[in-house]
Amino acid sequence: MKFFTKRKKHKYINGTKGIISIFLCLIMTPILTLASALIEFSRYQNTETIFQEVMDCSSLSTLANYDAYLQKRFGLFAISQECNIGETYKNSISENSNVMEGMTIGESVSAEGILPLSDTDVLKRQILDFSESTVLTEVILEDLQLGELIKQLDKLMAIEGLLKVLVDTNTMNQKIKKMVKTGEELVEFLEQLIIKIQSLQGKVNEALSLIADLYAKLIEDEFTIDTTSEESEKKSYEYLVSNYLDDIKKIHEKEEEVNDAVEVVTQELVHIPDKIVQLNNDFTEAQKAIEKVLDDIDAMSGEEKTSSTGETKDATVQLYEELLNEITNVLEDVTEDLSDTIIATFAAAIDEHLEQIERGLGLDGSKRWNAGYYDLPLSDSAKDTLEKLLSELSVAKEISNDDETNRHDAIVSMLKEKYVPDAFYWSISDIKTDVNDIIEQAKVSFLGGLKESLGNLLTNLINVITSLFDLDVFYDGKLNAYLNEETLATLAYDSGNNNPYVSLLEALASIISAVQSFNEAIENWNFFAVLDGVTNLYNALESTVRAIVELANGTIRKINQLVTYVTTEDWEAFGELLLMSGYLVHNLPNRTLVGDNDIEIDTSLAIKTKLKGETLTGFSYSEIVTPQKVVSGGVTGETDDSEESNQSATSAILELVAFLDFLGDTQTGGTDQMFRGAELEYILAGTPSELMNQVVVFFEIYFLRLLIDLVPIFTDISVAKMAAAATIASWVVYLLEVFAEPLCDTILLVNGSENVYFVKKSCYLTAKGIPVLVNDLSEVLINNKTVRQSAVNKVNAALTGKFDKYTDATATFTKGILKMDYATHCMLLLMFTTTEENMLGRMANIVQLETNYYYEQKESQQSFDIAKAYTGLSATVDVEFDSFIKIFQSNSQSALIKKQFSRTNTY
Amino acid sequence: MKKVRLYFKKENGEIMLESTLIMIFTLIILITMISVGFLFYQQAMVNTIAADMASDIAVAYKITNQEDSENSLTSNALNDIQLYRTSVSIASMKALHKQNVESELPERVKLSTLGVADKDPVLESFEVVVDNVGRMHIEITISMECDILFDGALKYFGIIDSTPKFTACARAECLDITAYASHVQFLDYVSRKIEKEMSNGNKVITSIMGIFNDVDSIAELLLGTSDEEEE
Repeated sequence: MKFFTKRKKHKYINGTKGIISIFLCLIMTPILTLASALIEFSRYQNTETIFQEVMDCSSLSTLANYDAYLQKRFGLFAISQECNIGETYKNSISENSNVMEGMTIGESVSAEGILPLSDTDVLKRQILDFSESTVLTEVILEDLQLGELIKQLDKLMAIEGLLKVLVDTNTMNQKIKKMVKTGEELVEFLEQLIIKIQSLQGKVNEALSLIADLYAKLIEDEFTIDTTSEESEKKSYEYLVSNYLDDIKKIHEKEEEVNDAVEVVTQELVHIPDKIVQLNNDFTEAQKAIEKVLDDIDAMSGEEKTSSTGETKDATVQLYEELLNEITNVLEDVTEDLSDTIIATFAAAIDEHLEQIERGLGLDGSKRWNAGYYDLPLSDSAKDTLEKLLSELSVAKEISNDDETNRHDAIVSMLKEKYVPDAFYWSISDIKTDVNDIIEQAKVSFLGGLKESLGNLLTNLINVITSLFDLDVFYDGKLNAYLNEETLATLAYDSGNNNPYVSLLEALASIISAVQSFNEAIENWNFFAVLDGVTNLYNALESTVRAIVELANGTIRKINQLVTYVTTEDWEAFGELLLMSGYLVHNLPNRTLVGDNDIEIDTSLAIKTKLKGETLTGFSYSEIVTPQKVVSGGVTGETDDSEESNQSATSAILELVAFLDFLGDTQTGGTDQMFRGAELEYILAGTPSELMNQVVVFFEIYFLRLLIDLVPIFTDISVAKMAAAATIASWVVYLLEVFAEPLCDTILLVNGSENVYFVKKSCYLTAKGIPVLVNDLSEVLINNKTVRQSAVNKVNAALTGKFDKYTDATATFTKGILKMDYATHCMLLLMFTTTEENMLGRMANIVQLETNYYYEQKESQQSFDIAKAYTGLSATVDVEFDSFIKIFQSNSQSALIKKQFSRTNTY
Repeated sequence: MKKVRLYFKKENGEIMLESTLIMIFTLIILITMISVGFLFYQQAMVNTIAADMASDIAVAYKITNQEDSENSLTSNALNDIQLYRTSVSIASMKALHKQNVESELPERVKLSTLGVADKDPVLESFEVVVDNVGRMHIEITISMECDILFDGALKYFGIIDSTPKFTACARAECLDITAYASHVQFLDYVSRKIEKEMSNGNKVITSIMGIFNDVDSIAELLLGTSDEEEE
């Protein structure tokens, strides 16, 4: 303390040495601090930028380990499952980060796969990216000639016209049914009337018989009227009334019955004109409904017909008009006969009869029996009546003298002869005969006309349908995989298991059955059976329409969506749908690609079907790896070649329905667990059974063709010619054409024919079309071992020469627009019927099945899980930066700046 | 006279005088250095932002509506991926990315600027340059005007004339593996197609003309005929 004396302290404080250094320190410190902070800030930002690039490089290095099989087979990118994503990324970022001095990567480096292909959004993007050039070109170049297709679709937008036809046809059906019902009621009414008239006739006979009995008694009792005086005459009448009162009462009662019967008949007669008017009205309404349908058809296809063949339109309309005229004539004849002949004759006979009866019984209105008649003394009117009754007694006496044994009958005959004209009996029997005759005449004109015009047309058409169904081409028996529960459990997407076409098949069977019954009824001249046949046909048609509507309801959302794309001109969404559908069609095998050789069995006992063609990536379908495991005891679906089928079309359809039910119910089956040959069918149908999938697609195409073929069927002059030949059964011919023509197209398509046009101009099932059909069928079926040769022969026999009589010299078989094969039809089905969710989910299942089997077969025996087929990478890294000036760090172990980086990268 | 001589010989206040002179010069130099430091920092920052934005777009070129590109990809982002983004849709992709950059730029600048700006930073240009089939790069130029610390001194000494404007240009190669693979795949497909056509007889020209005709008819259908356009 002595050192710091007051003097020294004063000198130290007031000293000036080193003051500049202190000044500089004070000034430089904040300035250098600020400058250093700026440098660190700048370094940090640069480092962050560079490190993000380092992370991107590392992510890409990891993504480079893509699954080569997936890329080659499906054109899809995903990180190979042989690659450990975390380790690969860690190694990569460790190497890459060496470029940065002063940076430390912490322990926390994590990288995980994201966006697996099992996510349908991811799968969709990859499919679209792959497809944007390749599929579009393929579709334009090979499939659709898209510009022309869209133009045709534009024409088909006249589908509204088609719907109008269907609605109006339904109305027409109701009107015709009503007309037929009214006709049936009239016939039944007339029959009842005949019975009542016969009853009246019987009562008249009984009344006459009672009078004859009274005469007989009076003759036997030798009764006479004493007319000597007024008093004696009165006593004679009183004697008559008192002694024969019971007989007189009986006559009176019977006469009352006769009057009642007459009253009944008279009342019934009043209704006849109304019923005839009703029949005429119903006919007129039916006629209008038919004309409306014809107008609709004409409007729907008018443009097509006039643009192609101007004469065709006139000829077709003329044929329809002839048909209508014929129907009109038949009905007019019947109604005319009923009104002019029967009713007039009957009414006249009844009037005359009533007069005679009243005259014969002495009952001419004013002198009717009354209560006073039975009492004594008699009233004058009763006396007059008895007097008239007895006036013929002398005649009766003469008869009784001739032959006592036949007295009664003789007196009745006499009374009939005198008081009941022959016309009474003649007219009743005549009415009955006339009615019967008209019914018979109607039957003859209706059935005879039908039989003569139809000839064997219906029989031939039914035979064609039968033989087509007998071909057993609904599925290819070799493609019979069935996914069991174990396999289904490995799939990410539940694709469902149902066949909506069973109800449609059953409805078709009922139509074929109804047509057969109708045809048999015509053959057997059974008029009422024909009417029943008509009713059954309408019912069958109604259930078919219902089945089709139910079917359409299932896909109505998709169709609405598609229509919305077009109407709102959302071509981007439409394009995406087109690309996805095209991708699936051109990268997945279908049943038409199965080779001619049945199967080959490799050393591992795996069953292979030889497949033609390749994917758009150039991957041959025959390289698709076949599952090693073979499931035994399953449903093979193979056709027995030795079986000679001779069943009807109805039973063939019902047999198919039963087979589909069996496939739907059974939980086992199939020779393998992968849809190697019918993958496209799986995308469309989605059931675990390869056989079922084929059948479903068969009928989906059939359904599509059924709609498309409506236009050519109703515009083809040859079909119109056949229908015209069938006169009033023309609609049955049209009905069979509507259901049989698409069947021909579908059979050709599923067997790989490339001769089917999307929009046809001529129909196969016509005289001109049959040779073409036979030729096309021969091309695709003769070498196809899945189809029995006998069945092919049967089709040829059913087709050849059977329709020659309906040939129109002016008609020619013209080609259609846009040739379309099976695959392209499937593409349209994908666009029109399959939801995006189903398309992508089922595609994910196919990828899972195929790729998994591929890796199982490799030596590594590694499995594949689509849920782990990642298409992106999410990485997180903790990083520490050393500061530029260490002074800012509290100690050498901890860095100034710590930062967590995250990056996401995808293919 | 002697008093005057003695006054000048005294050393009292010498330090004050010297320090005043030194301080003036030192402060001038330091302030200038600080200002220039801020100037360089701002320029570096703008460079970094331009590079960051170009890199972010290029590394996920296909994603146009990703909210947070660093952390996650939403299904919405996937669903909005455009087709033909490396060919006919480049203009549309460019517009979407440009829109994103314009909206993100001010926010991004706020995170690291040390300047005071009256105006938002400006995206001077945004280009997607096609280098080859399926390959492109992004070119971004951004600029911003802002006042920095002591920029008045810089103006006083004539180093800058007005409020400093920082401009930076950055480029980054676009990465779109699936689109690029699609192009490669397409070329492979076309070559196989041509090979097949050649083996079936030379129908290449016909096929190519068919493609052109179909594309023409589609365009005609979608866009209307030339007559309609004239009308």
